Amino acid sequence: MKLSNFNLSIENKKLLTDVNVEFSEGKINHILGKNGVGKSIFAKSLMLDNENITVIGSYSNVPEDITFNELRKVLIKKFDMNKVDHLCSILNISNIDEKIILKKLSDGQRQKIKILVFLLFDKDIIILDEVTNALDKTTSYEIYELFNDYIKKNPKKVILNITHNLSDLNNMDGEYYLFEDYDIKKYSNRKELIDLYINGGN
Amino acid sequence: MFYLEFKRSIHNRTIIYLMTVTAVAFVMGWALPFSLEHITAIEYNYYMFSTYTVFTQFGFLLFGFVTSYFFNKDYKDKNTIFYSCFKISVLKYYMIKISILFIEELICIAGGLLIVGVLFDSLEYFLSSFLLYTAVVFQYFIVVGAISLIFKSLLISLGASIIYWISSIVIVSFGGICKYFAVFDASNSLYSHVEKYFSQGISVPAAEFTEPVIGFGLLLIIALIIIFGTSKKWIKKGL
Repeated sequence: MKLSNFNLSIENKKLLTDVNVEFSEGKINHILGKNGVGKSIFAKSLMLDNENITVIGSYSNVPEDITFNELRKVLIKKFDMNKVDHLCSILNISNIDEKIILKKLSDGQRQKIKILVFLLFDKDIIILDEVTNALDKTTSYEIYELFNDYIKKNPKKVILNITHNLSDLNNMDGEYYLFEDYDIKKYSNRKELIDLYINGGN
Repeated sequence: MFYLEFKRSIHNRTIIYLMTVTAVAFVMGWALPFSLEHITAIEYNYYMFSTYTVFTQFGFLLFGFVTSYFFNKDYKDKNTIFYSCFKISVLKYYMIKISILFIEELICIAGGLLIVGVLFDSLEYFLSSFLLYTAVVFQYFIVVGAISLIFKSLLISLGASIIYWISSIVIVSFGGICKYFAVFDASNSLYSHVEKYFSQGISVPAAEFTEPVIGFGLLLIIALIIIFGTSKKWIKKGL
């Protein structure tokens, strides 16, 4: 996935200017950036411009006033049942109480259900926006395992992981980018990026 | 998706709100003649007409909130990407939502009329009242549903719906072609024919139904213009 001379602004505020960057297929492309630089707006703009992109973030939700059983019925009608059940088993959500509406489930369970739904659509580019934010360690590790496994099995896909959580970088190998100064720059290794992100390179 | 929306309407209590406002309309239809006209007893036919009046004069307020809530909830909960992934267009989304509201309201009105029928030991006006009440409520769903697509906020949608409602009453008072803006309003001739039907048993002339048909046609055209006008921004609004 290549962006050439990419510009992004919102209400006359520049967010990205003449960005030239390429995100690799078959890899998890981590994008770090401080609050307010426009990471989520970047994700939304990519998604709105391309039907082949799915975003899993706080602004892409599954209706929560349904039970998991009802949602599963809808998913099975649209997708292959084995595929749905396989993902449910990897995400460890097969045992969710099917009679409770999603709103009443834990944050982790709701996040996993969201991942299940949006991954099933099998888009070429998957953007994760703070996907492990506010989740406990066990759930985060389950999500890391899922995406590590997913990208191995789908080498033609591109995953962009927009995050603040440095644990994401430590648990999912990939490539590293920093969103700052109206640009997205690639860094050769994780240590260099983390150092720059935390200490500003000092 | 129809199945999912139906289930959602149960879990998020939309159906309970519909049942409640329908019950309120029936209670007002019974209570208002006692308080405003100081009558001591109410006949079945007069009660049916009184309830029809409540649906036509207070329906926008009663059904506006539940309709806006059912639509605006998806903006608030940021669900629009979910629908777009399922290839649900705004038009399809609107039609599914309106259908759910309409079907559930049909059941509520039928239930209310049956209870009233049992209490008065007559079902003479069941079918005519059922058709009239549902037609009146259907127009609210069409209008408020379309308005709720424009605005992200439930309160703004409600406010805009109320402004539309008040404007339509004012416009209708001018008569002529303006009467189509609120075909069921008391100032239109259909209302006086319905009154005669309930009080004297005189059938409403078939020609009188051309007004609602044209009125519904205009409302649907306005709704379609709104739907196609919001189609590009719909997903963005729900982000």
